[in-house]
Amino acid sequence: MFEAMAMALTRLADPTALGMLLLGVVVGTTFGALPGLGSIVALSLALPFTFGMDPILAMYLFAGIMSSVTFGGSVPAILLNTPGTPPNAATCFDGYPMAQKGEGARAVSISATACFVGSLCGAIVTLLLLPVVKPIVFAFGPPEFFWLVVFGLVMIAFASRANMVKGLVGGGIGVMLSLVGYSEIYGTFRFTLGSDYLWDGIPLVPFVVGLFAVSELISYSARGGATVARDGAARINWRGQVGMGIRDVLSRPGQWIRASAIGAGIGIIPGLGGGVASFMSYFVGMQRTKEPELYGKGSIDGIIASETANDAKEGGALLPTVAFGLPGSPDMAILLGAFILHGLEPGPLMLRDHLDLVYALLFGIVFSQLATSGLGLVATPWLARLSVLPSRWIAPFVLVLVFLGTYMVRTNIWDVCMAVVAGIFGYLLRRYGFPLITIVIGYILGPLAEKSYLQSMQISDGSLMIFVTEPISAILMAGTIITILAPIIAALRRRRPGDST
Amino acid sequence: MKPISLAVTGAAAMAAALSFNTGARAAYPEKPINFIVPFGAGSSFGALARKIGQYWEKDLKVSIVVQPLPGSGGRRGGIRINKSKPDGYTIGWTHFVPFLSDVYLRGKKAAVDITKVPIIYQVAASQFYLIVPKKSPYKSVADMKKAGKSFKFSSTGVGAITWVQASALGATAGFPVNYVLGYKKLGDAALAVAKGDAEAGIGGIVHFRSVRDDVRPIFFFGPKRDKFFPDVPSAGELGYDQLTNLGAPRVITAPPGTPKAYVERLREATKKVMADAAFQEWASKTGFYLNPQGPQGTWKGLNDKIEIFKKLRPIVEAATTKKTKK
Repeated sequence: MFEAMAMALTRLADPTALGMLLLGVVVGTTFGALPGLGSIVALSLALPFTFGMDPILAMYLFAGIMSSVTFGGSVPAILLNTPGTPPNAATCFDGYPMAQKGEGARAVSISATACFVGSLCGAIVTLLLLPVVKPIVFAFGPPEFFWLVVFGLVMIAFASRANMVKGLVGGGIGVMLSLVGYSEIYGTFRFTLGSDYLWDGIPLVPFVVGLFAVSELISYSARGGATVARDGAARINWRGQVGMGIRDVLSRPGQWIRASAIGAGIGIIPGLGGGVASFMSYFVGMQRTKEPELYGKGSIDGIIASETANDAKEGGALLPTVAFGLPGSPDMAILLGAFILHGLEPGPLMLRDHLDLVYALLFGIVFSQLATSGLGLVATPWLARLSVLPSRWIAPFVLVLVFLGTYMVRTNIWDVCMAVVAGIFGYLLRRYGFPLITIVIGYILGPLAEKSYLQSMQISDGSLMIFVTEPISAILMAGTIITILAPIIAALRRRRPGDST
Repeated sequence: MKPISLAVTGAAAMAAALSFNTGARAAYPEKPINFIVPFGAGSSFGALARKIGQYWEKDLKVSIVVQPLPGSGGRRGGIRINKSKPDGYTIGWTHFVPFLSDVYLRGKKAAVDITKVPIIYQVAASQFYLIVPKKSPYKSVADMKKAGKSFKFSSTGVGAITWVQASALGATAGFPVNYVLGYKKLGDAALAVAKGDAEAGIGGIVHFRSVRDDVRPIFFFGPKRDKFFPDVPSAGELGYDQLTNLGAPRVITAPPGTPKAYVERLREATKKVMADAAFQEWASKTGFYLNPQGPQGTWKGLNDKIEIFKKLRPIVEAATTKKTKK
């Protein structure tokens, strides 16, 4: 094991390897920052160029891309309320309000630092769990998935404390939209209106990017001005905010350790994905923060929760990919293809015969994240100035990028139309006070809830007892019930002394 | 028309036709060829396309751009290929199974009229195993039949190739089959078997090799035993000949209307790849079952599948009716 680690570390000192990592960082950050593109497009484009390359160098290139996309995606999420990738959507909720307050550089710096600690923790978790990954993966079946997803759906109520009815309606809309498309379980097309475009449902990237970015750009153009008022911008100490952001993260170890554990844990379980990791961490962070009133209004804890988990999941997702050949995330599915192309066989044999490659990937992810965060922190004072640019300059530019990004994912012009429709829909929902976050949660978690419920019923021949008889399932159920009941009990307790006086 | 002008016109037409023909051969291909893969980046179809593309690039002297276009169980990529301009610069894998399944299992109109698809070459056909959990008391198909109970199979979905194979196996061997459905990939369905969420599953080596310590292959859907598991009996030797041709064919096709000369040029290039020893070794090591077939051989295999699908249709109708009633 140590020999393989040493070999992977020695290779990192090779200038070609470093070059590959840095190339990956540049590609990944750029693709992450351009709304709609993201890691899948970047990795798919890089894949053919790795033919004939030393597999370790190819892995460094992939590691560079995978680890840097998240930070890249957080920059427009914070400064323009436009998530670069769907998992960055959770960062919008606190990052953008900070940018509006003139703290854009601080928020980007928090994101850069959180990404690095997340990546580091994810790698540590991977190293520690590599020998015991099998029992973890085997312990999670459809009933356990179901409770995890139900927990996420319950969080809709918490995410919309200000207006729970509108929040729940939004969640319901999200779930309903997620039902569109082909159902493998029923073998039928649902609500596709006779259009083959909707066979696979409403596509995630155009929907999320449209809902957030296009609707924000409409609002942005309608109200004019800039994210931060220009007269106040002159007094902002952008450089000073970078240091503040780093200190914000380092002074909250509880937040990032918990977010890392959630991110890495969700990454390990195949089939959940990055969006679930960042939202789940965001909501758990909401329950644990010392300043709940700031959540959704520019909370430092909110950004740490979503961005740390987003990066920690990469380390976790690597585990089932190398140990079983089961991708823990869509990025890992492409990595799996790269393994096959390079004649490598993921699974127990890979851990035995090519452990140096596994470590190379892992160290590559951490080193690339270090480079991404370092470069990001250096660039932050300039990047943050985007928030003072007038909307008449920035809106058309971002709109073009959004349309280009959504088109390039599948080279389908209807995806651009979908982004426009989602944008108009999102704008109307914003105007009437529906929290967009609840729609995205419903949309992402709805199909997972349906599938895990139906699979559980198929396994148990229709017996609901499957949801309570398995130990992990029972623990998750208890956790969900406690989460629902705790605030109600707390409210009742608060009311009781008041009643007596 | 005067005889002389008729002769001149005829000669000119012939010359034009010949020059077009030779011109087409000489000129094609002169720019990159898009190779559409109807599954996501990283799929086994994608890996095979990229490998073939490497050989094609040397032979055809143009770049081969592999374009993953996943969706709808492989239909979306097939639709894109067949609706593309028939200029020889967009080709790809048409995954026939879902289209056949739409028409012959569910009685629906397929989005692509597969009878008009120009076949360049069939490269491989997946060959699957019946797997059970390692601790399963059932060590053969005969054991399963003897049990006198129904068996729960993991599968990606109704009408998917593994669903078809499990249904056909149950109907042929004589045991009822039901399903745990909705797994995104065959690898996930194999993991479900390894964990014990399902009592059995169908998959190729590429799908279950990562959990091979936890599953046991007990039946091979091929005419003869497979070199990877020589102790596992094949469908052919057990007398289940109708089950030996159920694997999904990996067929390179062009859009309808593509000039025959272009199709022929790509076919020749593919045949050269198939004959290459290094390619054969890579394919064998990676778990691909090469099954080179021209259009005639490919259609024979597809027609056999159509007959099997027709026989399975009542089972599908019963399954979907039951679910609707629930």
